[in-house]
Amino acid sequence: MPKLKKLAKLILNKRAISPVLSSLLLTVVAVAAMALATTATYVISTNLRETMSERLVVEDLWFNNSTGNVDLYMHNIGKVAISISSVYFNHTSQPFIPLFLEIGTDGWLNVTLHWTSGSVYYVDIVTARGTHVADYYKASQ
Amino acid sequence: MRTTIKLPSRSKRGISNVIVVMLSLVLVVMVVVNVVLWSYQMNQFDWERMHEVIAISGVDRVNNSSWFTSQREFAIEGGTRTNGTYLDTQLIDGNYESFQGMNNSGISIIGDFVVNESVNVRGLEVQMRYKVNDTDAKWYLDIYNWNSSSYTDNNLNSTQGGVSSQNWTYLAVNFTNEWKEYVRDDGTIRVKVLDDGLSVNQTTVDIDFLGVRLMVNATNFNFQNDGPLTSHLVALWIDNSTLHKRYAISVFVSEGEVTSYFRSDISLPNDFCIIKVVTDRGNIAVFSIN
Repeated sequence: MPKLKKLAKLILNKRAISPVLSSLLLTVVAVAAMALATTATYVISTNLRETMSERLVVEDLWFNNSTGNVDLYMHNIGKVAISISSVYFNHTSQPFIPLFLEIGTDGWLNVTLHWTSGSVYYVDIVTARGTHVADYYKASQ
Repeated sequence: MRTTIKLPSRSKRGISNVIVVMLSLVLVVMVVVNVVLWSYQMNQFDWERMHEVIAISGVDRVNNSSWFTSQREFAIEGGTRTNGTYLDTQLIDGNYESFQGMNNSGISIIGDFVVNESVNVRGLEVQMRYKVNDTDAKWYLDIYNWNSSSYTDNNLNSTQGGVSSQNWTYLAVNFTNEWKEYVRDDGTIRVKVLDDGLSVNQTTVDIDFLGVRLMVNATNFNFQNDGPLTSHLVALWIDNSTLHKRYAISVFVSEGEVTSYFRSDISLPNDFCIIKVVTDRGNIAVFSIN
């Protein structure tokens, strides 16, 4: 009988619950907050790293007489894969066949554009991460 | 008097503090690895790219391969060897190999010349530098046709033969038609040197040089690296109004050096063209040819 009384007293004693709960809650909150911060930091810093690792070169730009379009030969010399998202000629977006370049690879970027012989074009290539590669090119006479 | 001492181990905020500190450390490491180290790497890459100075210092059309000479002694069909060896016929240097005709028979010697396989071949050229003690005879170069299994001077640009002279004289023939019939699969070209056999005297011929070369449409490029870093060239472009062609290459040019690069498969257009070379750092050197 005295043993049962002792157990009931221990169970019904409310004074110990709040410190345990608070400690537990604090730990959960701390872990959750830090996990959130870690994830955010990872996402942001990875994106930053990838953006600053992009290096793209236009090896050749051909105002192609036979097709009437413009062909650009791109070479990914950076440390991350690149996807071309937009191509602008004189600040006007032009349609093109999508191009994805793995690290160290190269390929033609075919842009549909009716160019004028002798004209100068400001060509701006934009990657999916927002890197711009731009220069002036003169269409062959 | 009663003093209350709070032991750290009894602090209720201890665990969360430790977690925050540990995870903060993870965050710092993550930022350092992802941003700072990569930034350092890319800065180094950009620095190297800015300091790379590559140029194309010359581009030459190459119409002939180097000379291929005999690598073994000539077989004798008529006459005898009187002096020297086949080694003396490999260079134009005044050292020669001599052959003498016998009574009532002319001189006839056969040599095998092995050429390296090549593309853009237009034809073959055979050249001999010789002198003769008797000026009566005429000299001929016949090439073995592996299809018809016979020596022939068909398809040669000249069949008139070479004169005999006591001074060093050149006899050269070439052919562009059906030249493949004269080259065996292993690259062997068989050449017979013979006189017309009309001389009544015992003729002696001294051969200083006898060689074969391919007539090709090839190109030689000279790349000059004026920068402080070794450059790795990865692409070569030949552009004209009708074609932009890229050749993947792998050429290393040490700092301060000029490297010659021969391509037998590249034939330059006859009109104006632009030649570009691209490094693995993304720099481009340009050269134009009219």
